[in-house]
Amino acid sequence: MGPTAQSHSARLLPTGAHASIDLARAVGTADGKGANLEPTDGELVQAARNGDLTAFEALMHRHGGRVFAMARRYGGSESDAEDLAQEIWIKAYQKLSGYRAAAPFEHWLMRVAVRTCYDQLRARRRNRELNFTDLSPEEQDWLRTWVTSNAEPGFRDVGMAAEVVHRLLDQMKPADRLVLSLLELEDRPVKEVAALTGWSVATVKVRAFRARGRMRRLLARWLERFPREGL
Amino acid sequence: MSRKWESHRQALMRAARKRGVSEQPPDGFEHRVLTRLRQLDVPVAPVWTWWDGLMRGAWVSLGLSLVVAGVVWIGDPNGTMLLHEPDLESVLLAGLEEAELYASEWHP
Repeated sequence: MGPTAQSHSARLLPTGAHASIDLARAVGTADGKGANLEPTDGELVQAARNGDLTAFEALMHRHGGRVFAMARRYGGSESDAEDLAQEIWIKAYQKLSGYRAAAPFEHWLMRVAVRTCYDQLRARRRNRELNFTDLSPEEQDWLRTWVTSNAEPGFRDVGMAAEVVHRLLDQMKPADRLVLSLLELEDRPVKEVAALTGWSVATVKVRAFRARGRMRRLLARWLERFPREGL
Repeated sequence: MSRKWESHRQALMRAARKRGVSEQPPDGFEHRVLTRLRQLDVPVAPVWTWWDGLMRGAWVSLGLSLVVAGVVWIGDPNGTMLLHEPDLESVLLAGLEEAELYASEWHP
């Protein structure tokens, strides 16, 4: 293992994690061959199950990025996203005993993450007051002109489109929002969405079909407020 | 009409997809999670323990069944006790016979 790989490994693992998992493996042989500084996810999970929080921290270092990206998609503000990511990791820790090494840890973790995000969306919908968030005049104007122009999205368009899509999804049911985000924003195949959500492939397709219809109607409702030729 | 809205919707989603989401957790995030885990003293849910217990229970049940079967077989190696058990046909015929007897008593 070269110095780059070693420093990479050192960055991934918090201090003390090696020692608590397998010191012999961490040290390796004298000639440097056979040394494997990075324990597998399975080993880290096993250590975390036995209460070793440093091993769990190593798992967080390794997979934290994807979890955080997902939390940012569903969390709303940055602080909501951090709360959601924390919730995901706490649930993952509580459910570690349910992880079977047959599938990669990341798949299992993403299932926990999707489930937690879905629960969060449902809770938020239950608790929030009915407020129909309208677009700002600037967003309304952008939507009207951009949609009719059929132009390739520029840097500003991408940001505005993401904002408008976020507003649209915010009006939708949690299941609709989840399925459309996973399929169309995260660009995941139907089978993967089915595996992540625990729904059947047929259910995913039906939900996506209905969700697209609802999103179309919402979009139409917004755009029809500004009747113009060509729309 | 619906096709037009669908193409608008798709264009919007395509544009929104181009805005990537940062995968960078904020500084000290892991530390905060670990602190919370320590504060909450979150136990690892005993699913594995439960499953382990269930499997052990199943083995114990199997063992007990084998012991009971062995004891029964030793006590009655020819299965004569089972031979004296009334079969379904006999039970049904006995029931019918009894019903006929009652009927003849009430309507001689």
